[in-house]
Amino acid sequence: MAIRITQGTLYSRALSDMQRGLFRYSQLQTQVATGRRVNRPSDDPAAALRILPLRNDIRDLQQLSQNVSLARETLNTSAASLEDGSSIMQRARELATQAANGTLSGSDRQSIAAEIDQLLEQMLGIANSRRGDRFLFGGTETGSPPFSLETVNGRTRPVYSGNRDSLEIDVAPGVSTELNVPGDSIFLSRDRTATTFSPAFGSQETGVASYGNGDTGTGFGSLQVTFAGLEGLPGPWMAQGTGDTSALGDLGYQYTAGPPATLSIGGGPAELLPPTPTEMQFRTSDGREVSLVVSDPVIASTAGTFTSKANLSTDGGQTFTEVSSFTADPTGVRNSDDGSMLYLDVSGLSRTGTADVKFGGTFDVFTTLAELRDALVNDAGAPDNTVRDRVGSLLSEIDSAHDAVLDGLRELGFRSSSMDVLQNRVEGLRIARTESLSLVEDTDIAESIMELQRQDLSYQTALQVSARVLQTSLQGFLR
Amino acid sequence: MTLGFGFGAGLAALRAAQLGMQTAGNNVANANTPGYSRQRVELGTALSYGIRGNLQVGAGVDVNGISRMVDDGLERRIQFQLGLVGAAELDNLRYREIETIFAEPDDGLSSSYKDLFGALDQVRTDPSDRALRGGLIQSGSTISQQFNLIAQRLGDLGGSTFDEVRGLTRQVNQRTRAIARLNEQILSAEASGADANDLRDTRSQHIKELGKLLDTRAIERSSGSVDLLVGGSLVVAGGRATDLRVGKTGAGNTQLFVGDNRAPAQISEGRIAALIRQEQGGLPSYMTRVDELARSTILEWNRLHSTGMPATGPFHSLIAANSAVDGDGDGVIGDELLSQAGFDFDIEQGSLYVAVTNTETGQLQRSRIDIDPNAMTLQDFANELTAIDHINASVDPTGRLRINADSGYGFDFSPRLDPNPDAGTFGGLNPTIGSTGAGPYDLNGQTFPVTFDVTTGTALSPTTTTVTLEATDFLNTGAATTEELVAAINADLGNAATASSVGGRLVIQSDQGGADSELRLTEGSGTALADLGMATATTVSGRDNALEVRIEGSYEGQENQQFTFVAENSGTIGVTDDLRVRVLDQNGQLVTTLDVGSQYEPGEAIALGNGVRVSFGPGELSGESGQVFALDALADSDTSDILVATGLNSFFLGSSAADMSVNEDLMANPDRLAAGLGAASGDAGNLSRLIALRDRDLGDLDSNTIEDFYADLVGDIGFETAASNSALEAQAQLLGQLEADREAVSGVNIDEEMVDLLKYQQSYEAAARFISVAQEMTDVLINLGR
Repeated sequence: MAIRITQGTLYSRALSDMQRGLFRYSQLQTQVATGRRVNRPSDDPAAALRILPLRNDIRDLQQLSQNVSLARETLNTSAASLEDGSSIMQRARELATQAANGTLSGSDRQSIAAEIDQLLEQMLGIANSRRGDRFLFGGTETGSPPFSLETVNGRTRPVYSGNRDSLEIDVAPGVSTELNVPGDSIFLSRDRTATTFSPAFGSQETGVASYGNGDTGTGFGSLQVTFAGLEGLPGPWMAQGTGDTSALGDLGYQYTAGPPATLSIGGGPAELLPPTPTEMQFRTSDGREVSLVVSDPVIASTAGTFTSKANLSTDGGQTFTEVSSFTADPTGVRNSDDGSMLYLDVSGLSRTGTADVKFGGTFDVFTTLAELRDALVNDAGAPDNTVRDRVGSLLSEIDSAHDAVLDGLRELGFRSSSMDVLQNRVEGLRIARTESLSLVEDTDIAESIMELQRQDLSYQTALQVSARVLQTSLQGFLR
Repeated sequence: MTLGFGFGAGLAALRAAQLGMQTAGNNVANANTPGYSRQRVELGTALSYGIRGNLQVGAGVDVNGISRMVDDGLERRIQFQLGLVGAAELDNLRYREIETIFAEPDDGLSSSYKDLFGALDQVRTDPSDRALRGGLIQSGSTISQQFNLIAQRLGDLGGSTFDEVRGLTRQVNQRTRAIARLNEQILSAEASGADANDLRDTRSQHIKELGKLLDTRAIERSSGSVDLLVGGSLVVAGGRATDLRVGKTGAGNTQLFVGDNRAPAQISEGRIAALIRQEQGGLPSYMTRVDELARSTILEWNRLHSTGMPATGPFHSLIAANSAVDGDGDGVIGDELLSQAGFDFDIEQGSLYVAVTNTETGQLQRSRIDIDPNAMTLQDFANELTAIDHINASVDPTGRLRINADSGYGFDFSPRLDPNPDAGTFGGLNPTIGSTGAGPYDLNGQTFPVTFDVTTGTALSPTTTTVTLEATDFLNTGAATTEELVAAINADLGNAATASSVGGRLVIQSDQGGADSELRLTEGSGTALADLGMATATTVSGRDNALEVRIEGSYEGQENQQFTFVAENSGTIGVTDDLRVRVLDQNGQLVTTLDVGSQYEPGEAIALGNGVRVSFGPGELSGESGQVFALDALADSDTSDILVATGLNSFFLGSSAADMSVNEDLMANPDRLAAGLGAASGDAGNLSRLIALRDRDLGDLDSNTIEDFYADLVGDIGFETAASNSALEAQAQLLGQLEADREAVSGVNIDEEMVDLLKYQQSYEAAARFISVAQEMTDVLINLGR
């Protein structure tokens, strides 16, 4: 026998059919209205597990995209500053060329010097340029100006108070870039070459030479070589005089017993020795002077050497390094003003005097401009040709300082252009991720509306059928 | 033929038809009554009697009774299924509520985490921007509130269980009493022999309703009364009902008891069972996982934050956020061992590195405090801090640690590199003699006491001090530690010179500096200096200018490390050919050899690897005199978690989802956010570490990242909710099927009843006709006699 169907069965089945239809209907309605297929994790737990990381990815990529823009902007701002710096160096070169070649009056040079001073100030402003309230060229010390100028003993030098760290920022998944170039690598030169010496105006060659790469001074310096006393004299008949002594190093003497007794120093002319101690000025074969107090010792002819010690100073005579052994070992001279060291080979040191020291390759933009200005101002009153030589010798330094700025500019430009590539990549990734997310969580509107219509139809049908079935009973036909 | 022929049978037929119509009417009337079972008149032929010879003539119809159409097995299955559906309904309701509480995938913790880590990226673009810092702190506050809210709502959901169970139990008790009452009524009604069909239907209905709430076992006795068992205990026995009671365990879990039973009733189906199960299993497991997540977030975030540097640079004073408790109740706070001081986070055996900075010179002095939570109290820790120069610490009456720095000094716990690690033992002003190797040293060859002379001062006015080493100075003379030697030597040296340990090497340095100062060591009784690897042959001179060592960068290694830099030979930096500095790690293994000779330009940075760069200024080095300096390279400056536990420089406070919050100090002052490791305003070192936290697998979270752990949790909720949806649907469908089956057996079909009505109506008419025929026949018979 077939299963018994009662009215109750019909009612409850019709009810549950309608319920199911309505539920599906409302689900579809939510999906179409929100445009999302997954509105609660239980709608599709597997999809929910994918949605969270995908959304994180998209958020990250948005941030990265912002970062790339920020990086490009910052790099471009820095580059614009350096471009200004480059024009300043160009102008400085024009002025220097003019000053080196033309026959200029003192006042012409003063006005060029004034312009150079302006350029120096502008350069300082560029090195301290900011984006917002962050200094661009101070490494991670972004809160205070990284560069300042300090004038010690008439020499201007830059002081860098930033650091060599960089502001890093993520610009693509797993890729970070440096937002800035620490200023010391752009504005301060680090390509040190040999230190050279030239006799200062009015001075003769002292005979010192550079030793090794250990020097730490920058720009121009000056080395004073003075007489520090005699050592190893043969006896009481020969003592240090009070007159000028310009001869340094080991000096040979030749005593010839008399009468008349004579003494020759350093192969120089033999001088007659007086019987009582008398101060005399001796001259060596190469014209160096030695002041001695001598008398005839009345002994057999003899010869030997004594040493004329030297004092070396790089800080204008504030501190001295005494040299008594004229060997090839390095002699370090410290500048008490800036703590820089100068290492010398004193084996050839033979004469007192002042040497201009040029610390090769250390001419940064500031030092160069300051030296140029100071050379033109010419406080020492050096003759025109000396000034011109000095300005001329600075031309190559201007070029190399300019090159350093251009190198920085190139570096920034390179990074900035790689930001364009990254921007595209990050955007591409973001779009791909957004599409993935859309695939996972979004409603396929066309499909949902079709489905909605289908549900609508079947709901309507269910209603009609139920209405028909429920009305029907034997009762109606028994009248 | 008798006179009464046919009336008996006719009357019986009339009565039967009447009863049939009444029953059909009753069926139609109750067609929609829940639990009503279709009734049927049971007809039988009446006992025949013999009339003639062997012929048996029927005596008409007998009404045997009116029976309910019930399939008892089906009823029992429905009752059981009702329990399943009740439980599934409740589970579904709970899971949907939980799903709502987590509010994923749009407004839940996932977006809070996204905002928090996103804010880190934002601040990193400009750490000096106060608005961005404030934004990060705000994100921290938002996620804390989100955690608080989830904890509170999950708690509410769990807390409502007791009340809900109590309400449902009241319903159970009403039903059991009703069943007991019905038992009595059925008993007395059926004593007369008739079935009490409607009473039985009502009772079945009550039993079914009970089944929705909890699983019972019904035993029908022969007398017709039904006994009900809940978890093996009788709640209905005949006419007596025993009430159910609701109680709580010590842990706050809801329990159900039958009458005065001590043991809770074991129930497994129905709403009540589902509620109790949720309370014990489902809800707490989510609560636990949310708490684990909050705890790990707080712990890991604070570990990094507490060792970072605020925008204002090193601290001048700092107050811990978490208090120690007076665990032993002696009225003194801070004298409990750290492991028993009541901190929410465990303090491990480890080390804390404290950096004290001279704010004028930037000179940094780093000290290490070794922490053993089972041997050290909070007061001991404060004392250790106070022992460091220029800072002092105390435990205040509320059990919080307070640290203050002297004026002109600041302290911090950052792992940043010391930019000037050389304290003067590497080309410094004062003449120095260092050991050629690190301690401990073997002095077993010596006959104690051994002595050696330390000559200091200048060549013109030397001072000689004799140092005496006793065997009692050392725990083990075969392994004399550098610290023991330092203590023993300094006790004798006075103001002449100072011994110290530099990277584990013994170093003796004259207290007088300058080019004319000198230091010479001479063996006295015994050859201790030889054992210690100290140079005795040369007189070491001091200098007028110190060699400057600078360290840059940040250490990127995974392990805490101490590098020792040792001059390999002697000469001038940047001048002497092949002048070399050896770099050793803390195990004495050679890391690299640096050429600082004529190929090196003083001040040039040399990379050591792991992000560390070193540069040497101009000056002279002496390998013979054992010049050395040490550099701490820290990956983690607090391996003990004492900063997190005591809440020093914390970002988050609290330790669980319910009490998580952002440190008020930060809320009030965004500068307190430790974005950097160093004091430079653009330093984002700590932000980078915090950003890296996002991708780190955490052991406490089953080796998941924070967000993966949470995504798993959300996934589980999704799966459980979806599963409970389909479970409910399946169970409800099964119940529907069973109810359809029941309807097939016990339901009223109106058509059927109409047919029955017609049938009985016609049968009534026929019986009446029959009686009328019988009457006519009787009339004929009577008239025969006239």
